[in-house]
Amino acid sequence: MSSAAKVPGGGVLPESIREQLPPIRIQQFAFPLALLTMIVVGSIAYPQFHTTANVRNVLTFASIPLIVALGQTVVVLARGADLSVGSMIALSGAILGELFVIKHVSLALTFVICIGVGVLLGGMVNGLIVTKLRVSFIIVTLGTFSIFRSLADVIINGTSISVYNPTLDWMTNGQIGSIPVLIVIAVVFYLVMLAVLRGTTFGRSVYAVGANPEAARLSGIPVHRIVIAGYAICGGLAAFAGILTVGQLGSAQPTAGVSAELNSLAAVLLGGTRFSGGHGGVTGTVMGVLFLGTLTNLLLIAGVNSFWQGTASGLVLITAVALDRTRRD
Amino acid sequence: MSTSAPALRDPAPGFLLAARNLSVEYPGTLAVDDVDIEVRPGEVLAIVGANGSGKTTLLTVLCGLRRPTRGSLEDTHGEVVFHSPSDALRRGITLVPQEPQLAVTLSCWENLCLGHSSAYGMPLLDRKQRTTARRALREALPHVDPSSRAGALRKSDRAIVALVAALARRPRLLALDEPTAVLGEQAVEVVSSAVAQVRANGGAVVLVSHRLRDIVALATRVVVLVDGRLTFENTHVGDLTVEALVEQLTHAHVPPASADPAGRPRIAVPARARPDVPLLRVRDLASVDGLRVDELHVDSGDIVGLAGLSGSGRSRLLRALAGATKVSEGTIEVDGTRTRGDVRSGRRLGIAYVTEDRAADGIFAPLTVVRNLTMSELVASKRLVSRTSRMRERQLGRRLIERFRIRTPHIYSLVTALSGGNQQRVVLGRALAGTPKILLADEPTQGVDIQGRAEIQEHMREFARSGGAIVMSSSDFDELLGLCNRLVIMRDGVALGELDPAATDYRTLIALTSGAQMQLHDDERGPA
Repeated sequence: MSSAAKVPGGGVLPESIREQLPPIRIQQFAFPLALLTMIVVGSIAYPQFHTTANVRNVLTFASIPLIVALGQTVVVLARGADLSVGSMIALSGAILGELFVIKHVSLALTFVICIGVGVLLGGMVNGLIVTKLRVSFIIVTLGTFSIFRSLADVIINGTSISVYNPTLDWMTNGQIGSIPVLIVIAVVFYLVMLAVLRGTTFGRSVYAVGANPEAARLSGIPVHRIVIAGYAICGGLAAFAGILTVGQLGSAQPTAGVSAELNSLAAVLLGGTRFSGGHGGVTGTVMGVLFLGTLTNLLLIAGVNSFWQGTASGLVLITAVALDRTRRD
Repeated sequence: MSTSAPALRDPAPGFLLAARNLSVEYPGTLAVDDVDIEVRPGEVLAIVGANGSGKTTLLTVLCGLRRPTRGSLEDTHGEVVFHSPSDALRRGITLVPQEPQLAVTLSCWENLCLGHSSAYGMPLLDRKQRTTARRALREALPHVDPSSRAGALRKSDRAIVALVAALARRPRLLALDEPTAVLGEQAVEVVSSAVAQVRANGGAVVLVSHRLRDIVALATRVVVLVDGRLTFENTHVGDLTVEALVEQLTHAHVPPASADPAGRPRIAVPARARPDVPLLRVRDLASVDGLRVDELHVDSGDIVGLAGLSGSGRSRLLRALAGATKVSEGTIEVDGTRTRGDVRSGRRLGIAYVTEDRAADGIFAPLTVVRNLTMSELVASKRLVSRTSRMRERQLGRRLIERFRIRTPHIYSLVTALSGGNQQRVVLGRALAGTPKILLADEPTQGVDIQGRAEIQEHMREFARSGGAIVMSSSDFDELLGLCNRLVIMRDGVALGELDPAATDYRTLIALTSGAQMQLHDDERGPA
């Protein structure tokens, strides 16, 4: 017998250091491997693909979608989905344009208001209606998807407002050394969300609520509060992404963030988070976002008509989730 | 009549349907063991047995819902094989399950027409069928509009609609699974008129019920199942008494070794800070779903068993005590403090709850064994956002795995990789992880093998010995008699009163819970 202690009736109590950590499953490597394969094949086929400039470009363009998708991950983990994030991006940008440019509110206060609105609308509108009024999340966020974009149009009257501010410009177009600030911001958000989901009671609760809401309730987890907090985080991150979008474009636009809800959901699901809740995480989402970004970039370099991009990412999404399904059974 | 009902059309004198050497095996248990039975035209055959004796399984095989492991079904023309429930339906065999199965968004009369073919191919367009359906409903349920949505009806009315819908198929063999559980007092009347209709057409009725009184009133022939085997048959209706049935149900019953009085737990209740106040005190509890408990005191060291049939309110009471469902009246106090009636505040006061249906609301299927074990203690009982460390999770998880002897390939295995018995230990381990004062356990040993059952019972005894209080339910009366030091009899949502298990036996429990014996304290030793 080795160091493992036998439990009466079979089974082994783990003791060795190897077993201090969760067992590694081969499935966990399937998607990263696919991403890696795409990068390697792309690099061999197209020399311009693995230039520093192009890599930086891909990562920069993946940053804002990643921030949105991180929030979406929390909501999906708790058995929901937020279809209003794209509209929230537009609304937040519109508020920024209105307050900062037209009303001359300070940039810091504008930021606080924008993100505050995101958190509040996410939590107190999406979250509260889903939990307390028990309306399906699809219906609620489909409604707010329409409402938020309409509000954005109302605020900036359907036109675009040019926004320029050195700080905002530095955040979205600047660099620290040779690394774009945007990438740094995205990485920081990723790390924070990773810590929250893995190392806090809130994170554990999110998984529990997604895994089995009724069991979570009976275990004493405040299910409603967890779900509301999830939508609040998602709304806040989308609002912050809205600010960054304004910085990137140099203007607040009513069409900002169009189809961000679908892209973020695609990235989350591609990254292995299950729509049925309770399984997955932000690391998968990072890979999902990178996969979609890399795919778009490769198709561009390969000279494929950009109209094909949607077909490609759609096929990839369905294939990935279908493979995940069959592997589970 | 049109061309439906082919095979059983001719009224054969022998039998309508027969089981020959029928066995049904589930993993680990033989639910039905070599049963031979014939259903004869014009009779009302009652299948009686204790919980888990295989009655419902036998019924589902007869109705084509399940295929037997061994043995076969026959009609007068020879062997029949039902590939699906509709195969059985086509032969005129109709089952009314315990829970009324209706299309709740359709109207009552539309439910009656479902599954019928008609001249137009569209049953809802057939005017004649509609009229017939509406008339049948008017007769059975005069106070209900046949056009109202089936889902809007009371549960007992829904049960009647389901029965009328089954009769509308003009069955040759009508199978009723616990028809009287939902219907309450009016049951016998409703069912007997249904039975009369079927018999008038030369059909037969097969009846499964816990309620011995109803069986005596309705059946023409009774068979008793004990552990899947047919042990008794009575064809003389006149001789049939409730007492005789109780006799048969307990006749073949061999009490397990642990149930002898010497083996019963003698628990020393440790001294408490406030011995004047019971650990758990329930007063005048009532809920909208018909639960009524006037008074229940549980002290540390107590293991109170709720004895009752399914639907008697055992689970409802436990859920109400746990705060999982709201009560409309009454108070629940833990150690002198009134609970606020939700799970969280109950937990804070020291209530732990083990649910009846592990798969539905017990385990977190996509999560690991460790996460499942520590979710209450390390997550739910902390503030909304606070740090949790993997190390503490691992330590607590490992401790619980050892304490409850959970056989798991790995502490981070998915909980779904475990056997049912081990999943049950995980659920119990989670509940007891935070050292609560009160454990509410609904069927804590359900689906656990004999050895595992003994272990779980030992954990519960240990919890009570160390000063905890337990309220539990079990449909296994032996378990209640062996484990509990107090028993509460429940019937139709009402806690009728208390019994000392040392002065009670299996037979009395059967008699009391099935309504064969109405009084709790008269003649406590059972019918003479």
